Amino acid sequence: MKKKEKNLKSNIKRALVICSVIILCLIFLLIILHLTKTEQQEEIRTTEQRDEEIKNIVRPKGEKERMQIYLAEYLKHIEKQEYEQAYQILYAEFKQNFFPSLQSFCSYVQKNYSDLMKVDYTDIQRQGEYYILTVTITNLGELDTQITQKFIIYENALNDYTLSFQAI
Amino acid sequence: MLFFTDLRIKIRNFIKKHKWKVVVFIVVWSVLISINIILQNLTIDTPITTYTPYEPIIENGETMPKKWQDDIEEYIKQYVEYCNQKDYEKAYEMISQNCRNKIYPNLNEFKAYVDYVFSSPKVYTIQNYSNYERIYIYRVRLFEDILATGMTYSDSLLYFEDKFVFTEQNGKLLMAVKSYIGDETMDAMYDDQYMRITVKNKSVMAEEEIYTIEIQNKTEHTIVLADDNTAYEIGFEVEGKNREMIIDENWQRIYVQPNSSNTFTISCTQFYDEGLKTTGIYFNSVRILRSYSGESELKEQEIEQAVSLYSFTLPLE
Repeated sequence: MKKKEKNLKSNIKRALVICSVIILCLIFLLIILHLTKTEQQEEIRTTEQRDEEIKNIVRPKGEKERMQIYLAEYLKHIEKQEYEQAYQILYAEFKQNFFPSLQSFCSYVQKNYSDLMKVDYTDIQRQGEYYILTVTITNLGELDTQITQKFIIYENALNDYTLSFQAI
Repeated sequence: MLFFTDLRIKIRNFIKKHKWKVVVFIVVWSVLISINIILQNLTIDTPITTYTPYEPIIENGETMPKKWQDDIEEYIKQYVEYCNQKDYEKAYEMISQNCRNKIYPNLNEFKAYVDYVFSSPKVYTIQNYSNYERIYIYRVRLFEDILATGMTYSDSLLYFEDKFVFTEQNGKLLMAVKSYIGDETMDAMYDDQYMRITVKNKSVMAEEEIYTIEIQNKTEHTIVLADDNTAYEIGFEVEGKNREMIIDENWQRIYVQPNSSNTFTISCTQFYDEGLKTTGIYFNSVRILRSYSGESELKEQEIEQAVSLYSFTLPLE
């Protein structure tokens, strides 16, 4: 009887150890999988995901903050030299009037903005569904200039907007 | 192996013993998860905005019925579209007959307005201004398509402002422009030895009342009622309070030559949505003059030689 009890105890101990090892291995594996996945996710972040992120950011914000975020997003594209993305945001008729081609827009941007900008929001007005933002853009770095410009933003829905600006 | 067998038995016993509790727990948990998923999917991506075109600026307790909101927006949209396209006839037809008669008696006058305001394509914004006795007044601002121009040509936003008035009539909406609400035929008169004044008509606008008066001069002298030489020459009594006649760039002196009749329009500020009544027109500086030149330098001399100087009130009720 004693031998049987001893065997039983040692079996339980062994089973516990095996279980613990398996659980630890699983946790370890999960952590590795999660880390790898996050890295991969970072790499394959799509525009939709970015849009969703911005949506989540602007959802609780008031209109003033939202407009500032939209404008900041547009200017960020310019800073990162993502001219095509910035060009896509512009209002179609405005593009027709002032920048009929992406190239013309690029030339304007390169002439007037630098890759590093400081933006001061001077004024914001709403006229119906149009938002008129007056901003002072300080070009840091090589250009070292300052321009005051008006941006007009029209918001269709959250993070769905179009804009134009004083093409001076 | 015994350990697992023991564990299985324990779990089975637990489930047997607490079968209903487990079922309830699973159901509640599933319902909560489902609600959470549904709510997440139901999140409406409507941006928070302070733009409330259907909430009146002037609150007087009367709200804009929801059933008309889309119709009104559609009306204004269509009207502006026609004006932008210079489709004068269609835009003109959208305006109520009474308003057309009063504001643009013929198409040419309307054309002139459209050509002036819509010299370039315009966009618009609307705002419910006030609602009173089922008359809905909208402020409409027309301005250049700032999205298309980026305000490149103009640093400040210039706009034309108008008040569109929507009236419910037989289950339909009638649209009037230029703040026009309606006309009332009047039956008020003042008569004395020198003159007879008949109030012919009152045009009610969103923010003013315009009276058409006919003055008959019974004398051999010139009657002067207002020539903007002193304040409050003509005023209006609005439920015990006095309001001065509006003198703007279109204003004309009110005087009548001997033995003749003239028709004039005089107006005062009167907000339709306040529901106040104009009870009388007072003439504070009536001059029956032997001679009248209209020159301010000669005014004192002309007054010294006056046949009579007096004032009176013409009751409108």
